[in-house]
Amino acid sequence: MSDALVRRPPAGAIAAGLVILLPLLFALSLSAGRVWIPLEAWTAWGDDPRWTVIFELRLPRTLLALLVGAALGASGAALQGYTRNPLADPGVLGISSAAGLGAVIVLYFGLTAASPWLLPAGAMIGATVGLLALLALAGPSSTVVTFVLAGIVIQTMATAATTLAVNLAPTPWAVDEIVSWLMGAVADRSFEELKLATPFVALGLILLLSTRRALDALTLGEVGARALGVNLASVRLRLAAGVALAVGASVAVTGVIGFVGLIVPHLVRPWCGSRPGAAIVPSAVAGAILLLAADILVRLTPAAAEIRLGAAMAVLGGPFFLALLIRMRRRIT
Amino acid sequence: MTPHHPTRRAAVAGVAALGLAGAAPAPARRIVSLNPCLDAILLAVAEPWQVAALSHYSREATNSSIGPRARQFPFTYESAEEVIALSPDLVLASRHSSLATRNALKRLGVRVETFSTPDNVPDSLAQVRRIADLAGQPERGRRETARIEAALAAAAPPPGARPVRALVFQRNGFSSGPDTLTDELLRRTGFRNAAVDYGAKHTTDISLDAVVADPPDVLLSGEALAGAPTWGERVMRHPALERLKGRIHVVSFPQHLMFCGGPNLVEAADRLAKARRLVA
Repeated sequence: MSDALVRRPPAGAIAAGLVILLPLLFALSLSAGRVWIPLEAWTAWGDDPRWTVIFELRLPRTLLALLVGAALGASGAALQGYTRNPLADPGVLGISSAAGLGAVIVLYFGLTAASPWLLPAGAMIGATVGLLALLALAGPSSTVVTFVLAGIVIQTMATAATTLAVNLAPTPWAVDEIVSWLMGAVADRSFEELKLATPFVALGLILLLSTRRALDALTLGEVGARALGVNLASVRLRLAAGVALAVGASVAVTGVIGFVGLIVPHLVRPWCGSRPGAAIVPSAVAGAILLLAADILVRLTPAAAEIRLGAAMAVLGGPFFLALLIRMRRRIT
Repeated sequence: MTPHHPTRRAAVAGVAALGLAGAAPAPARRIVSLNPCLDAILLAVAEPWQVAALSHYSREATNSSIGPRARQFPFTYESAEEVIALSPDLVLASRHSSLATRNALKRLGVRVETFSTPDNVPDSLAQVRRIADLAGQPERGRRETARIEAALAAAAPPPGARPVRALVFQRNGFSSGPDTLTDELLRRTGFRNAAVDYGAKHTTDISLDAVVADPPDVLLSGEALAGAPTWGERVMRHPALERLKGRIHVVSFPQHLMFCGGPNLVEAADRLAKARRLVA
């Protein structure tokens, strides 16, 4: 393949870079925020309220940003590999929209007053329903195209229902809650949310990783992959379930965060060549780094209510795609 | 807070009495409010030194009834870390304050009292009393509710007066539906809420067509922000409405008077009474 022709920095240099970058961002994330924490509070072990800010508010938030970023990055890489379309993202299968709709229904009826856990539960149920609908719509012997079209049908319908909910919301506050939740955030999350999401995201990532070789084979097209002995129906099922688990659980605790899954595979592709299977792990790492960096950035925006993480990612995503487009055009001409 | 049912209030009172018998819960000394409506009540019933922080919303003059006074106090942007750093012993939150933030505060052992938007005047008065009691200022609470009740009584129409049809018309035709605080205020000040005639079952937008077809006597319009006139005022410049001009009174009624209740009720009742006198 073209791997050998493309000049790449040695893998060791990249690994070293990550080993430095990740702890650096981690430390920065614990220090960054609206409240400045002097050094002596770090070792107060619970005696100082500012110690609580670091270890009960910023630490879970940091870990959650890493987890969700990894889930979104890996899902994006797997979906772009499977669809052989560089514009596919975790939203394309309709799972995030369906999970979002589940949560929106909870907010619409104001059920969070009964128990705050109904919000993530609603999102998980939404993701499950979305996954089942996707598999039913696509059918057992579908091609990549029908599979993606089925996903787009679900995405469109879930988005339409969400819009309708905003439209018909019983009070202006329900609208406000729905809109701000849909923008996505990791602010003020706790270890509880982390505990809720981690098992599902981990299982989802394992399923996605299991499709690596099949995704490489799919670069030869569906016929070619089948000739190499790839069971396409099984790949599809693992992919859909993996994305539903990883993204559904992420949406359940953070709301909808776009663009990470779209951007990240493009960022890592120069280093892992044209094999889509090889892009999954780097995409997970890069997704985690990107989302954590974005979350640090939103916390440091001065003199305004915190920018929602989803909104910030969209703002960063637009220029990124412009740059990508310009680079692609230059390569063609 | 869901509407204060008598049974619930009795239960709360019972708990308070038990508390007095044993170790009396000390009144809150450092109170943080996360909501502009609660900010206004808190400032009315608590001593300034008890207010550890207000919400950032109250710093914007356009949607605050507190005005420049709010700027004398610290504030938060409704994030748990800012609140924790202030080490408050009581946080007043709305049911619509960020869920994640309220959960985080409760988990960290901060006492969070949650209030809903009042649906009627008794609800609102109960909120004033509840915040006053939490702040250990029941006497100031009684004075504030008496002031509000007096304002409402003064704004009542003369007996036997015919109710005047009025429509709250904020940006985009946003209007108060039946069974809301504003609906009750309209009734108490001699109006009939015209939103019901246009089919509003809850607080929602009323279409301009419906208003033109069957105009109310009084249009309670939102206030124009500098450089951003509201729809409610653009209505009067709409060519289709030009000929309504002589038949309909437009009165300014800022949006922050619609939902909050508490001290806002005094200003709302006053404005509505003045509007009714224009017509009758």
